[in-house]
Amino acid sequence: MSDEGEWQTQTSKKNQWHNQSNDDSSNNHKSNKAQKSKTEDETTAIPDQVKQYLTSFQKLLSSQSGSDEYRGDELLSYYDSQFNKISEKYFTTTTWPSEKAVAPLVDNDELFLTLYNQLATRHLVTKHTSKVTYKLRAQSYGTYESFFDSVSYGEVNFDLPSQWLWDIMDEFIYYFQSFSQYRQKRLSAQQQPSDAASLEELEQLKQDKVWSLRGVLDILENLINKSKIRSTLQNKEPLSTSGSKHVLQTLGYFSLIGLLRVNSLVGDYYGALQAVDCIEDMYKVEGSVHHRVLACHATLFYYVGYAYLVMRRYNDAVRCLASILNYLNRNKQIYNKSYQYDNMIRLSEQCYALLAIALTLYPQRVDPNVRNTLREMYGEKMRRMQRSLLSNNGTNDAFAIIEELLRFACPKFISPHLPSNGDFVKLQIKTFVHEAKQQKHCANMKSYLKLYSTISLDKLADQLETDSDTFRQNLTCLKHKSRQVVRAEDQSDHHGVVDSANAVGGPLSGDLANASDAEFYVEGDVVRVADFKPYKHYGEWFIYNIHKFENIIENLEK
Amino acid sequence: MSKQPIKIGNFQYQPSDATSKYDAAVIAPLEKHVQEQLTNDGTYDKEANLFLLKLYQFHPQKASLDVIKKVLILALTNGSQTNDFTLSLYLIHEKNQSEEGVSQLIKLYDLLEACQFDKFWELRATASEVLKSLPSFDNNILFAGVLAITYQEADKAVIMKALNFNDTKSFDEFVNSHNEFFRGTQDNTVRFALNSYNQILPKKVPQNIKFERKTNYLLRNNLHFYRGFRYWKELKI
Repeated sequence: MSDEGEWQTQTSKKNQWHNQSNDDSSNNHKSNKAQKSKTEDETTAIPDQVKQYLTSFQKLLSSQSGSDEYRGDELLSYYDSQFNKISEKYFTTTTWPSEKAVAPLVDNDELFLTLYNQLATRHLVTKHTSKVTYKLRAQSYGTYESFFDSVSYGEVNFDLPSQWLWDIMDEFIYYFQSFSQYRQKRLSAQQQPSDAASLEELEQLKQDKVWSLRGVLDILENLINKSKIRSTLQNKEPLSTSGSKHVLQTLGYFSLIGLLRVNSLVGDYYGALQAVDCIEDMYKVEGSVHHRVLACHATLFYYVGYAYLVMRRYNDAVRCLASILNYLNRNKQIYNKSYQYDNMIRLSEQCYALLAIALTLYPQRVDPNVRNTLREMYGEKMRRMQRSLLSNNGTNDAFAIIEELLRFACPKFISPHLPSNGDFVKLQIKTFVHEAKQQKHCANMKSYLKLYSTISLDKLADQLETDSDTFRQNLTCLKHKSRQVVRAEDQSDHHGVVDSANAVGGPLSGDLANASDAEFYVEGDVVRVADFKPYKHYGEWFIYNIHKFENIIENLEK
Repeated sequence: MSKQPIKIGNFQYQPSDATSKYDAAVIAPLEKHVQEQLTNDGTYDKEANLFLLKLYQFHPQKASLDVIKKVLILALTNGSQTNDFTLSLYLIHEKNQSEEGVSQLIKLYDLLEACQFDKFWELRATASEVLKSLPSFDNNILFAGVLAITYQEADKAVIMKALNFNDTKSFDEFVNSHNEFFRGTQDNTVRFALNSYNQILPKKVPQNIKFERKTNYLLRNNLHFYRGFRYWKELKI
């Protein structure tokens, strides 16, 4: 317990917000008797089962620090499923009791109260959206800032499950996102508020003190630097799995993904991929940190997939998105009961939409399961896009659908300009569609080329109803646009077996290659086209049948 | 933040006091870095340039249209394959994108990406008034590279037009000095150097099965399987 005491003093010294929010009851209790009795009432009003839950939760957590026996699973059940159960039973219409009310139950355990505060805030934000106020948001920023500060300065002596740490980071970014939207809405409102309180709030929003983009980026960078996670990953040193070092390293790792997210949100896709470029084992299933937490795994792949799409690396985008969709399909039981369920469902829908765009612009082979679901969800839209792209006079229908899909599937962008003028989201989508339009002839050209092995340029131009000069340009354009950066396939595909010697580098790595299934060249006035036979995947086929026969033999032996 | 050197791409900067790399103080040295890239060939640094555009977003009042145009020109001439120009556009405020010089550059970029090279040169000539203040840029080499992945052989006139050459002599010189793209000229045809794009190579079908996975089966099954796998590995089907 002495460790916790230390933690407490240092945190409260460091942060004003924290002080005010947590220690109100102890600091002001003489001058503010009325409030104290109110808090007492609140404490006694807590149902017994909740009291019991809180005290045993706190005991378990405090027994973690310094002890060898780590009961992560038990802790996780208190944190996730039991919390949900009690929320459903007692707090469907109200919020969880305030920290002050809980404090006497748990011996004023500072660490527990900070974590409890985060949990209660999450419950409030997800279930009682209307009760979220500016003050609450500002307070929670203070809580996070001081929490991350004490972690990065090594002032903590406790351990939390990775899942929990991810949630802390995830919510940190999520609150930042929603605060930015709130700020933008308030600042762009025409009407000046009349009452003093809202005026003051507006003034504070203008000053951009809490949840500022700069502040969030600095917190993330600081965690990354302090945890030395980049060099640890580059030197392939093992990450520690328990103790306070685990907390720091894991939070450093999640900060990389946080940086990926924030950079994507402000439109810097190169910076986004660069943030996670030290994660070389993205596709590795066993042993990688992101894989320990499903939501983290999914977030990483979604943002990387989106960045690939924007960078015109369609092969990589399809591979990345299909991989995560396949994974989510197969592991439904993990997130079925978690409060992350809705998020995961939405995320996978967004991934399917992105996949539909990528596959329309660059048709290619994709995992059969993923393809089937994709057909169910976006089959009709994909057909419409294809039809429009394959017509000679190219209507804009396809791009209208791409825009619609993108609007649904893109990250929730945050305009870095403050106050925002001009719609940042519109800019992001417009730029993507602009780029897609440059290749509007490609699909149609490919479909014609597939019919021939050798054909004169003029003849084919005739069929496409263009003159030969334009046709030449379009051929060159098809070649030019098909030359894309492709990340080498390491052997660690999503089947899970990995050979570290074959690592191919981070998500940014890759070489230029012909990424389309069309192979042709021009010789004088003749186009020569390679066979369009699809790849035969003998290996997969063999393994599939080996499995099948093994099953038959097993059944016979029974 | 401590007094640490700031490193972005090939750009290094030692701040005089504690600054984070997102501070406005980093803008001026980064702008100088852009200028250096324009004067020295082969020093293109997209990481630093994109970061500068991001800083402009954070400090919109410090954004310089002149430098934005320079960054775009660098992306236009160096970063076509990696989509750098579009990546830059995601970071440039709409208001700045509609400025005349920038919008001309975007048009040039569209023509380049659509491979309408002759129109590119036309616009380059007529837009010179707007782009006058900017350093000259030369896309011959970039275009030659794109043509070289499409053609094995082509009519000389077509290629000359695409690369903006008027007289045969200087074109022949260009061809001879770039043998990474060309094999040479003959009468009225230009012959391009062979590369992996402009010829049809036998396909290698990747079989993404790990050796461990194979051994898995190998251990589980008997000798017959082992023989089978040996054939399989040798044949590399």
